[in-house]
Amino acid sequence: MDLIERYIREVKAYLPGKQQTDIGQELNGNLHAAVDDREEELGRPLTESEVERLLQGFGHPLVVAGRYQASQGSLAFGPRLIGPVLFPLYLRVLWLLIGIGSLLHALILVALGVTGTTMTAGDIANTFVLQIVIQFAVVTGGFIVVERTLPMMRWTAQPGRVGYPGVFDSGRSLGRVRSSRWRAGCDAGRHQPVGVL
Amino acid sequence: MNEELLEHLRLELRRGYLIVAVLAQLREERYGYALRKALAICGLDIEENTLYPLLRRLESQGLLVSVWREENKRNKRFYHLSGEGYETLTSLLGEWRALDASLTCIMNGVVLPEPE
Repeated sequence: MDLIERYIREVKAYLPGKQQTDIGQELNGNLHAAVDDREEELGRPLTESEVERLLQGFGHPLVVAGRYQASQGSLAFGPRLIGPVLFPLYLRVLWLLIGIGSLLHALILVALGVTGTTMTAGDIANTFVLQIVIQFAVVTGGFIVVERTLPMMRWTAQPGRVGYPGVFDSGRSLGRVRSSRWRAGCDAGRHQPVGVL
Repeated sequence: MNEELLEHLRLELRRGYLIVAVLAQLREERYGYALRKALAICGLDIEENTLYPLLRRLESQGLLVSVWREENKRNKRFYHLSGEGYETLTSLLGEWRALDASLTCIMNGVVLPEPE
């Protein structure tokens, strides 16, 4: 079942490396059982769109993967801003971006130092902290927005479609938005697996 | 009636109960999808993507044991109660009956005699 395989691959992409095969296999067995059941009810094989609808009913891969890690906490500040579903992904993106950002920053500082630009320790500390704070704010803000739209997300079998039915249904892909990997969740069929950090 | 509030409270009520139900159902070995059907037959509807992670969690806590079996040419993961799971289930069932008795008492306004 090509569709089921694709769906499971997407779910696995949001899972940490060591859990991927295990959970993937388990889902495979269960999803096929669901399809088999339905086919037995109807007395005929399911059409592709029927399988798609069954998988949609199961949930968006991002949400499904998140539930497997639900024990890992959330970000709450009064109302819960980032729930357990997105929280693991949020942490990984945060770690990744701040890590890369800090590395680049350090390289720039070294380059400046080498070319003889004078900097005080205070300056260095300031800009370093500032870039971390800005990244933190942007990533957190972004994830809070996605968290709010989670209930609207729906998986589609067509690659390139954004998973918000009725909002971006023209079939045009919104394309990749720079480096933000979390947005890959919106590109139903095209994305790179988020690396294990 | 505030539907959202009611739904929230219903969920709260069911949350702990769900685990007992799953443990009880797994006195017999079952795989995820079949387990959901078995629960549904007895009137307990649980979303698949709530159930499957729950099974993994219970196993990591030592309450369940799983084994891979091939059925209908597919690899499926069958869960059943571990020894510890069985003891926990017995405990929780006792707890459940106690809670039930308390509520009955409260609803009837009867004062229970002090235990000896």
